[in-house]
Amino acid sequence: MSNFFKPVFDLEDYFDKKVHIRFLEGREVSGVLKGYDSNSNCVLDQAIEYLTDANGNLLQPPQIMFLGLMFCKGSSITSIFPEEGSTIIENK
Amino acid sequence: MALLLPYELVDKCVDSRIWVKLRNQKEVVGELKHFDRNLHMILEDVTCYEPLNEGKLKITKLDQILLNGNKISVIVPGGTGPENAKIQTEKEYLEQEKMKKEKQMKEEKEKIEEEVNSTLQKTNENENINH
Repeated sequence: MSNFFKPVFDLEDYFDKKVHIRFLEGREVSGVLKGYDSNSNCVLDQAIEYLTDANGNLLQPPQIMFLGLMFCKGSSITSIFPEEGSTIIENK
Repeated sequence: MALLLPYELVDKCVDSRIWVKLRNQKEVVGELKHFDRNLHMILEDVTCYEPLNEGKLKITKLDQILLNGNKISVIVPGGTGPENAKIQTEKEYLEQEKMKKEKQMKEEKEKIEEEVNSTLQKTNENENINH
């Protein structure tokens, strides 16, 4: 019962870190996490978006659109992970 | 380091242009008049962008709309919109970031050198006075 009111995870660990956010329809965005709330809505600073084509697939080679300060709606977010410690590996 | 609460950011945007990206590939740029907890928004002087296949963009202009907050993905304050946004390849972007970091490192080094030099000078002066 006492676990009911605790959040499943805490975005405090990612505060002020460069973070990569994936959304439900294939959008990907990365930026410095400057704010969050319990619904997982996020505020990112110096944010960039990795562009997709009309069907939602990421463009190859990756194109980047510079957005700046932005708000991400928590209900559309699929995953949030920090950029440090993550690398791109080739498909095999 | 103070948290910037998400709804505070949207509150600051009232009466200014914002760029809203929806869950599908649609985007809406307009002047934010009101919003609520569910992020339903009243926008004025709106342009809607819908990318069609083959890279075309369908643009519609509307006077005043109520935008449903359920399908919103991203809100960007400032109404640049997808037409005027700055687009680069990832390579160029990464190079830019490198340059910025190198600049920062240089500046920090210079600061430290200056401090060291000034403290050295002070100690020299003190020694001279004592002699």
